[in-house]
Amino acid sequence: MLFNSFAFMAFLPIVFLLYWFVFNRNLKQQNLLILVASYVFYGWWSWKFLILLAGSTLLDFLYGFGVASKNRSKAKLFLWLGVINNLGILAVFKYYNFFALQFQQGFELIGLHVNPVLLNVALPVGISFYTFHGMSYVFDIYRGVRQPVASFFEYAVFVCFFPLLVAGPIERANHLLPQVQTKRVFNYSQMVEGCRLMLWGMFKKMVIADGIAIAVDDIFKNYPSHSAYSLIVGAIGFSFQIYCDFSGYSDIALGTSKLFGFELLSNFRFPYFSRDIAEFWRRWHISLSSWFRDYLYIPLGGSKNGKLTAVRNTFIIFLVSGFWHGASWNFIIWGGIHAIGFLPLLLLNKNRKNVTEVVAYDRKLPNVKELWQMLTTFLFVTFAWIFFRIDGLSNAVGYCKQIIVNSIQDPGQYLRRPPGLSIYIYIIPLLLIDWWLRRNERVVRLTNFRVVNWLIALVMAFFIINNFLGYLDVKPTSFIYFEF
Amino acid sequence: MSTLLKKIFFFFLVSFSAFFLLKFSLRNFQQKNYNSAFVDKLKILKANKLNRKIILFGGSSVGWGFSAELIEHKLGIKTINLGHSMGFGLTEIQPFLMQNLTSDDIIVFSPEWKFYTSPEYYDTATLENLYRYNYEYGKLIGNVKYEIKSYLSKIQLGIGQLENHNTAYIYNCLNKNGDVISQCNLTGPGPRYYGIDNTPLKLDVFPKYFPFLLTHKVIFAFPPTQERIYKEFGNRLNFIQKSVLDQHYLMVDSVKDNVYPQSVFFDAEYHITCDTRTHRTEKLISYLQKFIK
Repeated sequence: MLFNSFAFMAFLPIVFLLYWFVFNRNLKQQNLLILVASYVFYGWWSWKFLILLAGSTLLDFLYGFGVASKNRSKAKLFLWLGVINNLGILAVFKYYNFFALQFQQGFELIGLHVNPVLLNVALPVGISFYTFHGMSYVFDIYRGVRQPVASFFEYAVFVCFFPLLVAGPIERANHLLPQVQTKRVFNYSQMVEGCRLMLWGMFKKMVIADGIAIAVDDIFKNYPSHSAYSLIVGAIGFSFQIYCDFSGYSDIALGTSKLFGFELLSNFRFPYFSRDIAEFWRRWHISLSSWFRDYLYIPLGGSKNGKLTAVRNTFIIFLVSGFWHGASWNFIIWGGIHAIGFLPLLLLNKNRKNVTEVVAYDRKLPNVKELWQMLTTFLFVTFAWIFFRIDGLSNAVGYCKQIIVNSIQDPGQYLRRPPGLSIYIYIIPLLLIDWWLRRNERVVRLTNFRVVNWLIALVMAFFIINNFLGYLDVKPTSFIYFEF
Repeated sequence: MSTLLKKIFFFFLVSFSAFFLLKFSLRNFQQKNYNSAFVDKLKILKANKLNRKIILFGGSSVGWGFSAELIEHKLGIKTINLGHSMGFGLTEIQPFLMQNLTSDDIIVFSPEWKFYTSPEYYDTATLENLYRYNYEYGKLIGNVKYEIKSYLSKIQLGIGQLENHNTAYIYNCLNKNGDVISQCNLTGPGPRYYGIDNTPLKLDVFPKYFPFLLTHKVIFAFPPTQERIYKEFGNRLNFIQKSVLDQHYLMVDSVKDNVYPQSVFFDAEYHITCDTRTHRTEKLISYLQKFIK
């Protein structure tokens, strides 16, 4: 079930009312309803996916007890079983065909023709997210930072809580499980914040991301026939499309969770205001980057065993992070580009320069240096997005080549009005609002005046309703990260 | 809890009411596209309800394939080109067409090949686009359902779309007679291949779908056909021609007379270039001259 669908618009109020009015007597009832609702939400795509979800949940729950064993070899065995189980699911459903084709091509290079068996199975929605939930649970038990939960229901709610089930944020057992284990009580201000976040998330997805997508899709699809200027506009457009699509999803997830009394981890903190790539990764898809930091980078030694190890580990986490997004060389190269961008900061010990506060935290505007840093970081990220967006490595290279060649052939184009410029109608207001909100990503409150806030909300609602009506003609557009 | 629910209810009430009020007041200001030009054609017909006229009727093979302007210029009779898109179908506007004809109007009827076997054919998406985003269409043809559906459609803000200056499929595509002229200074990508189905012809039930066949002077014309299509389906197309003759309908010329090399097609299945259209229309004019006499 998509957040931006008529089905969800009916589903959410029903579950909300049942939750607070009927199943509100005790914790068990609350969790039972959340579990059933989550399975309905997920099964809306295909009931067959539920079998995999339930099986994976049960196995991770059971492994948890083994991992908690005081016998370290036994604990390690169960930890590996948990990892193999989750990575095995990903390997079969997400990566098998990719590896099979790579082996085939490899063998053909040495003159051997093989016909590997390819699997014709649909990629279950959100598989990369819930398997990572499961792994974080067993890792945390192994590291001794938490005990296994006794109740399967509670564990199942942690894994499949519907707002975060299909595209995160990737929650940590230590953060979400205690909330699952405590009866939720109605909190008015939390609910209002939830509604605001949902509205802002819907606006970002349905109005901005889907609006920009019209021009961006055309530019990426027909890139050989576009001018360099259009291609640059297309790449910039995609940067904002994916940001609004994914952060919009995360806002809806955070907002929906608040309606049920849960607080999820933040996933975005205004990434395009980052002053360097290191800061970008502390602000973009935070739950994934911190997952890789805690469960991969640090266990590999992090940056404590010398620069060479730190460089190796940096490349590993960026490449793995790229590969996590999809079984394609494009994603791996995308991760590699970010690793290269990160490298100078790591070598010069500048990767932890902008750790705490957002740019111009105590000022209204950034200074020239900060503006330059934000612009160059954004352009670097935008360049990398080309590899992420376009199908096939040759097309990504072709896209970049077309920008260079066409710029040389027709430098005068930059003085003319390029097509697709109208995407700035979306981008400029977004940047202004983000800049205004940048000190706290979890509170969407534009002014201190109630009437003005209501008017802004009504304008947003106007555009959202308008786009919902478009779904009478065409199916709602899915979220980009649902593919992962 | 009740405060929250009241506020949410109030918010939804105000936002939906405001939206639909605005939508209602903007219903005549929908963003127009190529399909909207068809509404303009119907308006030309309505404006000439009481005049004697020649109507060119069919799908886009007519809109792109005949020049009503040239016919009007040469014959001195008001001529309207009603052909626009095969996807709209031909049957839905029959009541509107009949209401706006005088008894001595002449109809040049040129259905695309598909209509000979499926006179009731239309393409759902194309027709939906027409009535959803053109409130006036439902109003003109008197279809309340379409008016409601149009009211429930999205307001097309048109931002984010690429400004494509190199397409014939724009709203301002017509001349005052309803001919599609937006392609005249453009180079098309060339025609698409298509097949001709072999299912039984339904010429015998044509009068049920096209009542003007029983009430008005009607001349059949065959659509411009690509050489390769004629080469492959010639027998079938000649059979259609024979069947039209068997029904004692008048014909401008034969199927073969409308066969052209691929090079004179602009795009789609039947869209010919402007020069070819002029030659083709001249043939129609000489036939009409005889017919009118």
